Amino acid sequence: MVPELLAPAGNLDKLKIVVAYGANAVYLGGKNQFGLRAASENFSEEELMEAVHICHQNDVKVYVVLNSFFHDKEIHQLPSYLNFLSQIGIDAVIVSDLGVVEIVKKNCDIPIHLSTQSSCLNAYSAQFWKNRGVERIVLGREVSLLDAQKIKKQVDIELEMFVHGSMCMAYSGNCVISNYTSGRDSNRGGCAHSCRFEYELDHEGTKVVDTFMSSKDLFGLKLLKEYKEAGICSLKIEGRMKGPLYAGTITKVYAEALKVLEEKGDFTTEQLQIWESEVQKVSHREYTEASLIEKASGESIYHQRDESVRNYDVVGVVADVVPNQCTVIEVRKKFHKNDLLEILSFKGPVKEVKSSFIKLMNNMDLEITNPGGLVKVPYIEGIETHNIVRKRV
Amino acid sequence: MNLIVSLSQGPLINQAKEVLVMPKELSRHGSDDLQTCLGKLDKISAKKVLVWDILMVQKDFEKALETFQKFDLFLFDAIRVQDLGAFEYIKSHYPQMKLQFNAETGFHNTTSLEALCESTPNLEKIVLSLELSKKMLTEIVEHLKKYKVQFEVMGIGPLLLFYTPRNLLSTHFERSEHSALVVSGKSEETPHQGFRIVENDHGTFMFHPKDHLLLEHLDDLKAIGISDIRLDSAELSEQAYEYMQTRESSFLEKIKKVRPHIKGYFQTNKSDILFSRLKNKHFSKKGEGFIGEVISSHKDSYVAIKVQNQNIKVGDFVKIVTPESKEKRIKVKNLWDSAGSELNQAPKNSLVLMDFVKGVSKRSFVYLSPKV
Repeated sequence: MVPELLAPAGNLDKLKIVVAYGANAVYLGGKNQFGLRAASENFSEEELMEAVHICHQNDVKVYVVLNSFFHDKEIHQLPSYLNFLSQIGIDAVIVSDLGVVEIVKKNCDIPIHLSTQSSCLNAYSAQFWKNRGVERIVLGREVSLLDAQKIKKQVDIELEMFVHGSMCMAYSGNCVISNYTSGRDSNRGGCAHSCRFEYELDHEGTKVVDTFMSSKDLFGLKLLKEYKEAGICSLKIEGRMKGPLYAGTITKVYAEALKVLEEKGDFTTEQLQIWESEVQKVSHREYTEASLIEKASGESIYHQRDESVRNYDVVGVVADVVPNQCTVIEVRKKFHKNDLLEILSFKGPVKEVKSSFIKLMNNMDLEITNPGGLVKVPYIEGIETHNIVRKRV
Repeated sequence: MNLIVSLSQGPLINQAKEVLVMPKELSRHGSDDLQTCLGKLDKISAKKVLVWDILMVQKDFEKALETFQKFDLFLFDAIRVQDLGAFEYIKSHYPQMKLQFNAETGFHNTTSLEALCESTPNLEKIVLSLELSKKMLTEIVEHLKKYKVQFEVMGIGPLLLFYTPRNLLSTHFERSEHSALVVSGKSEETPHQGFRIVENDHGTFMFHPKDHLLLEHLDDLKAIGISDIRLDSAELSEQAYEYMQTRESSFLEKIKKVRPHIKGYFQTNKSDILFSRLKNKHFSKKGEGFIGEVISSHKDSYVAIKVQNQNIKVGDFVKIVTPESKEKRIKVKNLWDSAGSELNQAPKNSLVLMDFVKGVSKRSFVYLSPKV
């Protein structure tokens, strides 16, 4: 069996996108201080109920993050929230704090997954958490596939690993730069991403300016077979804060690759090239396999201030389809009449459509769109609501 | 209060209750190798504590276990760990060995620490986090005193901000084998400068430009029930000890003159207070009666709504809340689909157009309202 594909859902719209593009499970946070993405839109209780409904209808699991390092005042708020999560039927909570593990065990039967935030790196650590009632461990990003295999062999527990996305440079949970420089607790949702800043380094008078703490992005696509052979049960895509193009594209690529792996046992060089080319189209830092094979070296440092590798823009998302008449696009970025648009279908190849007409919803013709509006462009078969529309930069 | 120092701190080891022995094979900041450390043990009359505080992936863990084969662990009176793998290993393989746990990362509540105490008969001491305020420390220690575990905090010393196994400095500067490379860092985020950054065999560590100092609060710490104070400053521990003995403020003044210091979160920890500003509050208030969101508005022509939570139909009274929190209440007179066909109602998960409403913009929320 191939591992499940676990995708990020920063809000309900992104959840619908990753579900449509092939995720087997999603992880998301509530509108509280229990997760590590305070700036993300996250889910109200009402939205969480809808999320569970949508996911379960599509045979997709829902994991809720409670992975900040709790203070006592938050611990006291947890039981009532757990009661709610239990009632709506979520599939697991993702936890990093031993205190939270204890509270979950006392108050409900929701399975507990250990967050990567706990930096579980070795078999004895995995045994510690297993003894405490944890059912699955998201291993630290520093763990190699070979080490993961050893851990799996020594400790019979579900293992999950990151497969794609941004990476903490520090051992997760072991960075408090934001706490002391921005007054924001990085381990309770306030990370200011200080590791992405430029620093002037001074060694005995020799000065260098560099983003020396910034990691390249993880890219584990080529190693899917190795993840499977190591006994990893779930592959996690990072990025609850990322946009819909990222969420949709990365989910689609990995979902397709895992399907091929399941059906054929491996994928061809040509398939890999196509997927790699798709992954290159979303905004990202340079890619690295980090420590999956060998310990991450100097090569894994990203020496630029911004995510500059971007070949495509998301120009919108399909908001409605009127068969044989038009496709309605919710515009995120402007495009012109006669531009060649690419529509990322949920399955199969990308569809191209030339915007030979652009109309407002009242059928007024446009030469150029404005972000924030709704427009009609020509209909092509196979397009569905929530498909991502992109354009080459 | 009991004094805790490391083996490298010279004369102070004779005054200490415990001496921390940090072989560089097992300790983040050890400077001597294991054999050298073992050779110094007979000079210590105080309790000898082996520090095994590196975090370890499986491969490194196996290497550390090889180190354990080279000496008798019971040459030490206790062992201090941070990696929960090391904790579990000692707990299960050396149940007679006193265990000290460094809980500075991720153990910031009573429940987590109590779980450790409950399940670990050989747990002797917990090193508490510097992120805990006086109030939090009081609550934790009060609650856990039934376990007879000792508590330690750092009284003076460098404040670790960041720990990675990757070598981040030797890409720019030369580091001799098995030695430490130290640089000073200045962030583009002014005024943060003077970070001490160290690369050694265990990775790269970044410290706060100012040291952490809690000596002015010794009485508070004692009253809370914290028995042990660790002096971690390479250059100022002796003055700190003098202050502890005499409580003469001149020693404290000298310390402050040599290096800038902070008290961190001892008075209060409000590091979550800014979180509410990270969110646009408008988007967290959908609530009862929510129909959907306006995704487009075209002056004098239409408002387009993505219907999300419940149907909308002609004749409904709706309240529209703009991103600026202004409210408009109207009766729905007409609805159209994307093809321009008139509708009586629009179901969930559909796109629907209605008459233009002045002042309503994209990202406004639409709610069912009892009346206009």
